[in-house]
Amino acid sequence: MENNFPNIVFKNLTVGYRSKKDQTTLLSEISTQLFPGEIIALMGSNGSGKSTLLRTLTGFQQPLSGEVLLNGRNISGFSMRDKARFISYVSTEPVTVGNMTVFDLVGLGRFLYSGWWGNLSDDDLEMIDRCLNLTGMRGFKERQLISLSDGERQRAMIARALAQDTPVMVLDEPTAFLDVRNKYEIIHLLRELAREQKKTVIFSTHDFSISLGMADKIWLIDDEKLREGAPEDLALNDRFQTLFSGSPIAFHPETGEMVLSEKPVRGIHILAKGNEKMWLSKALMRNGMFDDPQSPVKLDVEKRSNKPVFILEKNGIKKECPSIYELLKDESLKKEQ
Amino acid sequence: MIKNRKHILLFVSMIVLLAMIFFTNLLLGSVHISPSDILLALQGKSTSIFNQIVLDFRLPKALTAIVAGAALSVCGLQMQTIFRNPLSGPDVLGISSGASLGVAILVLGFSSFFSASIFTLFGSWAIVLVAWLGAGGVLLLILLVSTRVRDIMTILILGILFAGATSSIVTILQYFSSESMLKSFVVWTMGSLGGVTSTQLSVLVPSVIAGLFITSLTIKQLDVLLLGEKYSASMGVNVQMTRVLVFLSTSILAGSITAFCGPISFVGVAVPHLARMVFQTSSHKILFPACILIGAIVMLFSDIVAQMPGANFTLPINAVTSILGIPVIVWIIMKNKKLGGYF
Repeated sequence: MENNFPNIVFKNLTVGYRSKKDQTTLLSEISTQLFPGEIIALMGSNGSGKSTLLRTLTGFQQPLSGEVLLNGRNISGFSMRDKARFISYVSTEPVTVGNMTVFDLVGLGRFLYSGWWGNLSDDDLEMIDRCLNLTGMRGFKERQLISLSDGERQRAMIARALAQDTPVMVLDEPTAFLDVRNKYEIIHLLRELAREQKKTVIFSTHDFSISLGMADKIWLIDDEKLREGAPEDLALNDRFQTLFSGSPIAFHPETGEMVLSEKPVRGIHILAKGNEKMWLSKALMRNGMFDDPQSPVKLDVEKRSNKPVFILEKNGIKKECPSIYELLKDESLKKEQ
Repeated sequence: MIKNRKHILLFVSMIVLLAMIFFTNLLLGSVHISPSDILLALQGKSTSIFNQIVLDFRLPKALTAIVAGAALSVCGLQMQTIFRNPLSGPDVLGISSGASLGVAILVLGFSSFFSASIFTLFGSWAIVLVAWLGAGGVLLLILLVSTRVRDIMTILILGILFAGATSSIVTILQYFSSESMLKSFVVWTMGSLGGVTSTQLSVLVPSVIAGLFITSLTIKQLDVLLLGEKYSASMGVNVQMTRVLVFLSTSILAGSITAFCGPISFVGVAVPHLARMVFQTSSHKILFPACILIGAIVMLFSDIVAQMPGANFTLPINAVTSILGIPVIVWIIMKNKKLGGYF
């Protein structure tokens, strides 16, 4: 699936800020490489250095030491134009320019290729059309940017970056302002672009479950180190705990979700199966209980006219609840036997 | 493409409108001259006194109006894009006051001999040069500040402060000047469209053409700069170079006009918005020529209003442009609700 030649190589890269007197190191001695066709999610808590790493990767900021190699060449030797032919960039801030249509915006992506005064050749027009199609924005061609929803605008910005025709795309929190559906759709779009257009796509994000589900590789910033691997590698190596250190939330490696980290204290025997069992144990866990086959308190589900009814059995007395919400409020569940 | 056809149609009607208003401008004045006499005079065939009035007075004034309107509007257009601020313009950010300061230092500070030579070719070039330097100085300050301060409101307020500082320096200079110097300076400050002589026009026109030429080199870059500097850099725009070019052309355009016509307010801020409204585009390829045309039309129209057809007196052009320009600016603010809004 991959070409064997890496697009991007970090060699002993240390990033951070340098002021007149001292320097602040955010990430030290990173060595890694990225290949065409991969989508990488960059994660880490606020202030851990995600944006600084992206700025260093795109050449807006000098590394403290080490090298960023693009296609084998050190980035510091790239001219502005060369860099713009290699990496395209989408920032977090929403861009709204009055009177600018989606077509105009995507056309700006052809800056390096278009003529004097920005005249677009037939090749440029064809490219713009292709980018609008790939991002599903064809029907929005003549729409003004200010009339777009956040999700549509993000697609337009991605189309603009695509029009720049670069092997690498870097996006700073592309899902920040989006609703759940748009978050998934945008990352799905990026994933398809990586796969089908053989691009290397790097995006920073705080959306944990999306990255886990969609990224080929996760870069996780953890205490000046860059932990990398498939999402599952990081989960199995217990790397995600770092995101929640010192908080009452913990990564639950069995479900791949975040849960309250308090240890459950009481056992309840869940007789239900499948889906219902899964959701019941989630509800119990949130309330400090866990599934314990030894427990005399039992929970079961019966389907009545296609609706689940939850049955709580304690000391031989059965009680029915129409919903999990009601069940959790029930006094006999709360009290010790 | 349909959109282009619409733009061509708009340009053609603008040019027709410009021609009409140009002719109307020549027609109106304190002396009644018939249209046919004007045409004769323009062809140089008239032998009467009308010839002199039209060729030596009305024509230079109308040409000055066109040049001034075009130059100030293009200034406003590029400043609004570079600062990403809908209320930028040569007068708002103190560029025009900077130009006045340059002229004041020259006229009040240096030259008793200058008072005589202010209308000669040498004097004209000297005045234009110091106006460029003055305008450039203030612009440089604002550019420096705007790299550190992102907030639009802060930069606007600083511009107002710069304008205040420069005009108080001018006042101090006036206070310490001799009577003859003061007189030649006051003559300059009262400069209006009508005060521009043919000699001065021969300096003004090439300067403005040079300024507009420099602007034309940045058209493509300005389009991208609408997205902000970070995007521009990531797309391969040489932001620094573009800033320098815009800086040069703004200093030349605003400096030249202020040097000969005195400060003219609000045209620079308002016309780019009119152009956006009429042409419904953000593309500088369209807005640049549109600002030239609309700027010229607005200025010729303001001059007609200043003449008060039928009356025997002329209003200061600056007062007229303010009265016409301020409603446009109020409209922008009302439309955007807040100044941070985009244009």
